[in-house]
Amino acid sequence: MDREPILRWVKTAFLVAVFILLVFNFHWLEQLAPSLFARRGIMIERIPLPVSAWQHIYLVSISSFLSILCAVFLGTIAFFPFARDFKELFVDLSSLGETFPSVAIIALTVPVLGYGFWPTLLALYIYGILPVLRNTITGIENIDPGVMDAASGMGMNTGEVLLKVALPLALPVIIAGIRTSVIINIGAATIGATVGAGGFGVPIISGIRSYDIALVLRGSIPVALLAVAADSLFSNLEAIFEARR
Amino acid sequence: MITLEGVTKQFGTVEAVRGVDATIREGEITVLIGPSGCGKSTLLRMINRMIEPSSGRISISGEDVRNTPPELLRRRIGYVIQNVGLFPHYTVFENISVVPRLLGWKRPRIEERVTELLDLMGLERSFAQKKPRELSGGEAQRVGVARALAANPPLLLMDEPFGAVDPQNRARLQTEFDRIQKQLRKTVVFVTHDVEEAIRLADRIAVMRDGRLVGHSSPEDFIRQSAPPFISEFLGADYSLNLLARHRLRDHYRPTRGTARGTGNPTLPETASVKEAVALLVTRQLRELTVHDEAGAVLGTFTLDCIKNLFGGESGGS
Repeated sequence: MDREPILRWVKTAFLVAVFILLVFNFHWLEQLAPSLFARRGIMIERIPLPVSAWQHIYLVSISSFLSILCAVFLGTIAFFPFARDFKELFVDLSSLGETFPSVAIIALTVPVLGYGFWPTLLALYIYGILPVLRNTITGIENIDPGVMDAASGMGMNTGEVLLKVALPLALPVIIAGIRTSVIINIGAATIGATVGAGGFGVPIISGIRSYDIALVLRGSIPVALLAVAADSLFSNLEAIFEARR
Repeated sequence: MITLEGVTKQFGTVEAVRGVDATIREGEITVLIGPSGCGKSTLLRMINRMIEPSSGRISISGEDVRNTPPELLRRRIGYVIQNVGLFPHYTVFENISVVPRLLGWKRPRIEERVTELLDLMGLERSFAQKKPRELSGGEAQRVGVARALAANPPLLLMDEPFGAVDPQNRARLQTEFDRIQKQLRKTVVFVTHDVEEAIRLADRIAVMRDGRLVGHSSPEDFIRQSAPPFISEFLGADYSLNLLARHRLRDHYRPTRGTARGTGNPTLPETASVKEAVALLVTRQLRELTVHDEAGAVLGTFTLDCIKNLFGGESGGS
């Protein structure tokens, strides 16, 4: 085993550890740089940081899980001969979802879904589809045509070609798409705070409202750390599946 | 035996294959040859239904290929392509065992078969656990052939299988394949655009041009019966000379009784090719040379007269 992959995981573990420590002990940072975190505003956060972290991760996990499921499913469908014509449509539709600001999706769906969790989940879900869908389709399209030809030429049916050859070979590319999608959603989920979905957006939004930098940092530092940790985690997964090819 | 009757394939307005009628004999290598874009690959791929013909009928051992679902048909037909198409995420073992697994073979039988094939292809048994990216081009191609032979199909389709390998390795692969074929006697349809490769391997050569089959016979017959201009041009002016490489001296010398050692002529073993003998005659400006057996005993003499029949047919004629 190379040392490089081990170092990668050490880095990931370190980032995760720092994130967890910081969420439970944010006052350490405040004591480290008291001038920066001096309270100027009048707002005092009522939600403990670990609760915000849990809400945030919960929201991102559920929405990302649903986006990945939907995107891989659609990307896979596009592989079948009968659906070739839909491929463009799928990508166009998800691009449309991507260009539509998530704030707008939230604003539009609140009247129907009410405040809180659901409109935010919907917005993040729609937002998360495109990167995964696009990578699933290109990942499968970029497989050496000789390999695909051999697979069906040897007597695999479409499903077998897909499960035994196409998806395993496209996996690193699909994971790269998941990585982009999850990281986008970790940042975008802060918007949820505007409609009461909780998460790290709560201190950020209240900090902005009260001109309280300390409060903004209380939300934004953990969000940034979470995104970096997730990025490192997925890049490791990518490397694992890349090595398997 | 494969029978093609009026096989035609249209892609849009382009006719890639036009009304091909042919019979491909059992246990022989039939080489489909022609310039690129002549429809030879398309014709090959219609045999295992990778491409469906627009019209016409293809049958294997009398049974129309359309009567069998494509997947089931293909599992009974070996398939080797130019860029090998080994599955990069599978080991050599897993690659070779793809079809046996699709056919539901038991693990011990698969293991036995993979070992047998590695031995046959002259690959070390330790190769089984390697990944395709650890193989050289020639090794990968051998694994490709082994994979096609895995379930012991009677029919093998090969689409420029040695096309992506360097010339030296290609010659070795051809020799090896020739040896394996002599053992296995598969019905092989082999697509190439390389005339020398065709000469080396073919029992029958089928020449295609613009989607039509313009000639189909044994390699020697193209010379015996004067071939149409396109074919002789395509096969090249040195075709007859190259053809001599297919023949061994042992079948083409005049035996002499007794001994004739002191003639001073150069000698060649009976296993040498006729091409080598002719080359020797030409370079030394000689009329005849002596043929000896493995032990060194003189068998007879070789002159150009000895190969008159090769191109002149049974009826003779110089």
